[in-house]
Amino acid sequence: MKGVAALLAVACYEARMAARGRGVWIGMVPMAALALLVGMGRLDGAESARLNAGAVAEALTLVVPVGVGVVLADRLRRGTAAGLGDLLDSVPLRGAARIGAVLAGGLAVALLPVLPVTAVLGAAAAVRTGDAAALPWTALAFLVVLLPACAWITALAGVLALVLPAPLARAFVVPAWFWAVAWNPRLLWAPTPVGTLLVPSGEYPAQAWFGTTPSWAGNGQVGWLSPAADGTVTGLANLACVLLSTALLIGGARLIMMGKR
Amino acid sequence: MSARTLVPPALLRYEARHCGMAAPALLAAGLAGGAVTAGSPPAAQPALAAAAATGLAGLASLAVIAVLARTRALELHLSLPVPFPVLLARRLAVVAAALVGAALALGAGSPEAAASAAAALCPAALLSGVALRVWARRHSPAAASGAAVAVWLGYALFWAVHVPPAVARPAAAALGVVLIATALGPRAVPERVVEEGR
Repeated sequence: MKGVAALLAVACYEARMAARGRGVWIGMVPMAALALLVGMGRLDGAESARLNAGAVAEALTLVVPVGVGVVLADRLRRGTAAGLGDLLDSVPLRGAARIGAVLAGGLAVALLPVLPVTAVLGAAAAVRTGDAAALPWTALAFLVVLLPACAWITALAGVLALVLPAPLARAFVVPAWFWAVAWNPRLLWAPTPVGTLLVPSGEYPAQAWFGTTPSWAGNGQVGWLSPAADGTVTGLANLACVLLSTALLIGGARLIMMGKR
Repeated sequence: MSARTLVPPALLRYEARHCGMAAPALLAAGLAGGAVTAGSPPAAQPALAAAAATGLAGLASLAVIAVLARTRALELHLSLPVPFPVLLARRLAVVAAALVGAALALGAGSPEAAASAAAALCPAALLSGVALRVWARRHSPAAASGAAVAVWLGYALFWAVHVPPAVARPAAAALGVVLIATALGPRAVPERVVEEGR
């Protein structure tokens, strides 16, 4: 219980610091506008509210995590500034848990401009389909499709910025995201998680709980890692893989930060 | 621009050193992109060339932000006889030279080298303008990179897809030039620094 309170306190502190600096959420405002454009393009009132919510969330997951990763890349790095590490180690929360809380606080602020966009898209879906259930479906799609992807890219960007200069890490986040979710290995071969259970693109959860038709899921390069998207089992397995790789990235960040001190 | 903006070579070398690795990295990215495009199977080449050109444009804006983030001790610069916008213009000229070299290297292998270079340079002007303008306003590399990346994706996914290149590229370049010119005007100094220095 005490650990949870400390976790929340660190996350809240980081969120307040990020919100005060204003760079994080102002940097996400153009991306939120782009997300509105992308999401509106995917809305068609012909289908059910549930399907619309899933399709919109899947489209948002292609672009929004890029902005999140770029904006949050230096969040962990600033914790390694001279002397700050000792100070931060005095909070009653050690190791990887603190890194997770730091990233969660930044992520919450970065997603602030995306929240109203999601609400607008949910309302638009409700109007187009004439079904008020589109609003809760869109909120659910935000939680299970978009949020895990953003957590994954935040951890990846944090680790990249620990081993590379921050501008270079920002430059790497963009191709890394498209390599992870949209690389077409048939056009130009490269080892990529696209189509496998490891992919953070949210295709498996969107198929499992919103009934969308995945474009890549099940067509990965490793047969046993890319089962056909088939309901709750593959959806949960994909979510578990994405959250596990996020945890591994956070653990890696912890090791790098310990090595630097 | 006054006579003091004439740039002697020694000063240019000095400013190039202050730009760090951004300019050489940009040049290396252009060379690598050109080599990969030329060496890939012919079926993949048009898609790769387009992706490389757009990618170089985005990289250019991130290089601009990297150079801006390295201009430390702003109060010191404000007390020097060289106006701060002139200093920024000199350093950005180093990045621009590297960008032109990278764009030429990108198109060197393809039959329409000029079009390929334009496909990289026009959006690069727009994205650099956005990055410069946001940085001048907020003095935050995170905000500038976020804005530049969002405009980058918007350009690649919507503007370049739905608008013919004959319109899309000059429009992007013109908007970029306007943004750069206004950002390098009297408001080039980050407003926060001016407020704090008052």
